[in-house]
Amino acid sequence: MLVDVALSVRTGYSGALLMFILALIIVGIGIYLTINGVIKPRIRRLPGIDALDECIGRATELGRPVHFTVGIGGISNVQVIAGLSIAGYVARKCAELGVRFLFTFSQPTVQPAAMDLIKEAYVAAGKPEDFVQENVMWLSGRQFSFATGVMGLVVRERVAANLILGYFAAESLIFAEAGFRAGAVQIAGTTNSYQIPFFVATCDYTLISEELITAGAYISQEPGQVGSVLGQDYIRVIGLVLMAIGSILYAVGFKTLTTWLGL
Amino acid sequence: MSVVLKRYIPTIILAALAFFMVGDTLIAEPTYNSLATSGRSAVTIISAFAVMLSITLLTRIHAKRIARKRTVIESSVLLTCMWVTLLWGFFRFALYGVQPTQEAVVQNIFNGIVSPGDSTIYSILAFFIASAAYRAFRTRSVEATILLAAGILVMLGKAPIGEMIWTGFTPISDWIMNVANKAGSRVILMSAIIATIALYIRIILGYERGWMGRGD
Repeated sequence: MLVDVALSVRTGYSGALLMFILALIIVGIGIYLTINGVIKPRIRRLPGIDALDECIGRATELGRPVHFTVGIGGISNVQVIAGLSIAGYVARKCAELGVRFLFTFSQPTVQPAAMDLIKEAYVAAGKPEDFVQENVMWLSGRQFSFATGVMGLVVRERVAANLILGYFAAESLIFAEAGFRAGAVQIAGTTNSYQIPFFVATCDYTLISEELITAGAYISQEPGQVGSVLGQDYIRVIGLVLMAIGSILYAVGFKTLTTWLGL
Repeated sequence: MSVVLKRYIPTIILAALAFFMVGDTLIAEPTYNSLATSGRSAVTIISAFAVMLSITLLTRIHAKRIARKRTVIESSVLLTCMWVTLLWGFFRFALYGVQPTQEAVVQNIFNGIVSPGDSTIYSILAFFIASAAYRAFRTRSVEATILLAAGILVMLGKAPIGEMIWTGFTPISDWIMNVANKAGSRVILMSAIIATIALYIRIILGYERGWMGRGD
């Protein structure tokens, strides 16, 4: 034997491996059924996403910019990835309507992806000459320094729309209050349950948890993406059934299921 | 070719790396795990390059502002001057091996400007919370009324004066936080986890390309 391979599943991860394979299969089935037209799923209305066009339209009428931030997460953060999916759409609309699009982020790893994404949106809108590199702004890697920068920018530029979609922690309310004081229409979204109440209280629309992550699929309406959301719903139903069965079995002293799933 | 370069090649690289890293989480094999650890180190190095990119962009923005003299440029001048401290720390470390964090100049800037600045902004949150709470607690609907009632009960349960008025506030407050609130939080958490799994599978399979441009 050329290579000595000692392959085994990590201790305590057998349930996770099973879940990963099952998730791949289930989401794959959802995508397959949707792409082949067997099922035509429809994502329920997301008012926060529907309001994006309204926000950009308002900015056009007022002649004021649109501000978009993905918060303090890096490019590996799922909420930032979801935020960038929405940012591409907003940038394209802004380019089409001639609205200034200001994009801020805190982690430098976001910059290459964001810069390329926004530039491409302007190219897709047929206005590459309108793309201004300086409107994609890294303000600071420190949480509150970044928050101060965003607050200053939003108030100084008197943005017409403040889009706060990504990963946020304690600085979330600073962004939302700055937008409120600037008189901007605000759409916020995060999966951080501690920050959602702040957004609900201060913003016009809030994307709660999975609504943010699913927004990319909702905007594109591509069968592959919508199919994965269908698969996501299948996983949810299976999870709920397993939880109910597991709870009952655990309550009567039968712990095989929880042990088997590695919980 | 352009579509292949912009869409398929990044997607293939991403899918391969994603499966590789998932495998590292789930499978124990010394050589494989060692390779994955090296991969993570590579991420750190790439991130350092991203920092350089961002610094270049920020400097360019402020240099342009100074050159045009169109707006208030004091902050731009100050920020550009701050880069001198970065270079100072770099050369001192390179030539004399002095750790930047041990430099008196750096410590003074951090303790005298950065740290109090952070604390100031954090303290502003208290006023913002009061303002947001006022808007949230205005009883304009049934939901807002329930929120107001729950908020008052939790506040009375947590504040010493609540227990002085009636000892029953504390268990009610605990029930709201540990049962009603936690149930809601868990729904948000679980839905986020399931959506995250689906998003990663979309990315691995190349269906979700919005975050890296459409590529078409």
